[in-house]
Amino acid sequence: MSDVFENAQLEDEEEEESLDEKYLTFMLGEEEFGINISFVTEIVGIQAITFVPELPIFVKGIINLRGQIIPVIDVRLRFEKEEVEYNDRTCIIVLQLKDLSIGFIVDSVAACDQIPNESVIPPPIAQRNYHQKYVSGIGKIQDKIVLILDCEKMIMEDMGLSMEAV
Amino acid sequence: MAVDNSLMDMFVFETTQLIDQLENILIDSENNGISGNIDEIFRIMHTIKGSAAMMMFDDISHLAHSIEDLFFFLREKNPTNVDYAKLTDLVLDGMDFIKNEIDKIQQTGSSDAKSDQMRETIRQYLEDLKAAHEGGAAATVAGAGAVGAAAAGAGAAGRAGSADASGSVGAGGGDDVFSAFEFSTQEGFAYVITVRFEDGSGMEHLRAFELVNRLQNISTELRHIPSDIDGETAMDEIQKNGVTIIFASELEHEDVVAYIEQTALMKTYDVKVKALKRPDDAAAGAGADSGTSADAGIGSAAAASPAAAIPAAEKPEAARPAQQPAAAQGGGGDSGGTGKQGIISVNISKLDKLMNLVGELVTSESMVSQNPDLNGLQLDNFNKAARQLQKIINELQDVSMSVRMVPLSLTFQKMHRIVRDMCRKLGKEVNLEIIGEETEVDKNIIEQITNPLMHLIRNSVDHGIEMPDDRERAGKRRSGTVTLEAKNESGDVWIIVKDDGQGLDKSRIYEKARRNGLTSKSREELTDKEINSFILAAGFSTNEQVTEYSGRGVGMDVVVKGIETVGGSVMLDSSEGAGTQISIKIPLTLAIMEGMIVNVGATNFVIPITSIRESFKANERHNIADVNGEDIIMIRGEPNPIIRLRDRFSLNSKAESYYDGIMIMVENETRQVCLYVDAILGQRQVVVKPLPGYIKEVRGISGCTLLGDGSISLILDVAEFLL
Repeated sequence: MSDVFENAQLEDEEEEESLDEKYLTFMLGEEEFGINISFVTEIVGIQAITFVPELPIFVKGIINLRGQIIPVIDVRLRFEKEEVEYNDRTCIIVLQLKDLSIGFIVDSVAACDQIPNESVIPPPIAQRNYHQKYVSGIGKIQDKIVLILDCEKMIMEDMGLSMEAV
Repeated sequence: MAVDNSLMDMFVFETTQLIDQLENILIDSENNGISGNIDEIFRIMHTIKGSAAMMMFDDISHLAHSIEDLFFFLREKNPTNVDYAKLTDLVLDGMDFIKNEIDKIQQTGSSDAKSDQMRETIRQYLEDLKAAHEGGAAATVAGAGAVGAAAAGAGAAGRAGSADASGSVGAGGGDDVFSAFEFSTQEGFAYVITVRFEDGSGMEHLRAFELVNRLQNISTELRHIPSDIDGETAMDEIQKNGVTIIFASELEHEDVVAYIEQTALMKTYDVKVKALKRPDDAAAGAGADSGTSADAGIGSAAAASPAAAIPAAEKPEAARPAQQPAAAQGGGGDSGGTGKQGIISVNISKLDKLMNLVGELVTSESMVSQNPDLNGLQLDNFNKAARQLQKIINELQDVSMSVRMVPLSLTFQKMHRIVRDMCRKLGKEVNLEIIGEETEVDKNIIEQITNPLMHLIRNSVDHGIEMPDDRERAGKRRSGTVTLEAKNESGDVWIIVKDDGQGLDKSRIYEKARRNGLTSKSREELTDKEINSFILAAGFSTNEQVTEYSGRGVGMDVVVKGIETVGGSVMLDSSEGAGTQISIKIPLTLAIMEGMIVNVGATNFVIPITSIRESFKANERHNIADVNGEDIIMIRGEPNPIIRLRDRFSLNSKAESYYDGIMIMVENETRQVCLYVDAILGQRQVVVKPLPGYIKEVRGISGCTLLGDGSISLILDVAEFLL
């Protein structure tokens, strides 16, 4: 009896672990970023964005996602990269961070990859670049490099900023 | 111990309600005498005590217990020389303590304050009362010796009888136990139940009380042995012999057993049942061999029944057959029953969700029925069906809205306490008159207006009403009146706070306004209305002295802000010497609003209809001038600033000249401005949604809404433009 129970628990844990190591990767220019899949609720194509005044430039506005109104931010602008025109490869990745739904506008979605924890190395501290404070690790898949994004930290910091502004 | 969350919610909800109820009763009895209310107070304290003990909040339960002791004394001894104001203060303090703890429990899940000191104060007061009473009582007893003796006799008989009965129940078996009790009901079953609790479970009397309370719901003619479960000796007795409960019920044996089995920490229970099918025989049998034991039934039932609390006068009469207690019990059971069945309490978040969903439904209905794909098609049947759908959805919307409507009475009743406390502190005499408390408002709005209302009431009592002597000198009655009125008028709710005090001193307000730089005009140029409106400005107080209640100058503007956030407005009217009236207009609901949809460049905005005065197209005949970098348009001889939404929100818009677009004049009580937009798209009901959390507040935008085509438009916060 207890064996069965333990096995079930083990399986559960394994499953959780595998979710933990799964990342949705997306492209911004030449760079590939990864977001832990557990935050992602869905991916939608670019759609009509309602402009909201008096916001930081990277907050593009709000969209109507089946009746739910969520803010969208342009990750390119967030990382101070140059703005590009949206095309049919542009995607909005909808993330759920605790109570908050938020959309990330990215150039394109690349893949859903398994990156085992042992192939993630901490980011180099030496170069304190614009977006690197939100990169929690660098994952390697074969010869490809994925910057793993700590989106929670980024959003919380944004909200702190806008709170200070008010 | 981990306590179930829903149980905790229920505890918080119930206790808060009971405390509110109790506060009102106390204030009522302070004015009208306490004798009619003691039982109710007793019942409330008892319930609080019981449920707090169940939830392991010992300090609350102990405090409730000591207050209960106090009222027990008042009920039993009926002392004459009691200072009710002091008593009320004491109990209200106790209530505040419990309220505080409940708040803490709600936030952190635990209660940590100690009520020892408060209990000591209450105990001390009770001692004083007792001492005073015994002094005074000697004379009374001597005078009314006969009555006293009779009462004592009746009491003793009752007690002895019940002891007999408990003996017979404990030892006896079979149908005999029923002969000791008479039932007036002729249907269902009679039950005699004996429950014993686990050794050392503690608080046996409370557990027994809880069981009795629960059984009240399914039974009539309920009595129990020992008859006073909360008495000093009851705990020991229940520990030893258990509690015996006798009642009649419609439910069958198994159902009752299932009911009893829910009791916590029960060791054994014993259920005896007898059908009450043959009324004549049963009554005859019971009547025949009753004698003292039938009296015992009355005695115990009477002591348990709240209606029989006036011992001396009523007891001799109570020796009549069992009708009276039975009727009292039946009545109590009935009112409890209807109260429970008619109303359920629902978590507010569920209602919010329902409201949101209905909002979605309204939007998606128009998305379907006004779908551009349908243009140019002949669709008679479709249109018919769509109209039907629309009708039902409208109805659904009305219903889901009405579910959220709560009468203002609870909020209004809270004001009694404030007025009372202030009168005591300030030495004023004020009557609070409440009119139209049954008026219903959306739950969310009620929450928002409670504080502003309290503020207004405080203002009226503190600034408005004069000291009794001053009033007399001015030829008014010594006690002032503050009227709190609510009424429905044309889709809005009006709340009016009126006092018959000294009114506003206009010249003082004017002086203060000049000093604060609020105006540069001379006294004669200003109308009374304009002067009164200074009161509503920030940081304005003419009160020279800062009191505990008001005068810090953070007054009326906070009230105005609070009311404006729910889309309401404040009006003030005052005449010197005769009083002040403040009228608040609030919408029935926050969730749905009538709005004008306007367009600026690629963005649509919604302007609340309530704040629009007029809209017009400007032309060459209008005088538009640039004054200090601000564009001003003259309308009917008055200058109005123009605000271009394009510039305000840095949008792109083709409409360059003021003659291309539309002017929309918005106003509040003090100012009006013209908003310049590209075009008006129409007027419709919109479902208000907040901006998502990430965005925080945007000045000038109060929320957003979905239009029929699924696009989002932003709702303008008009108040922001009128600053």
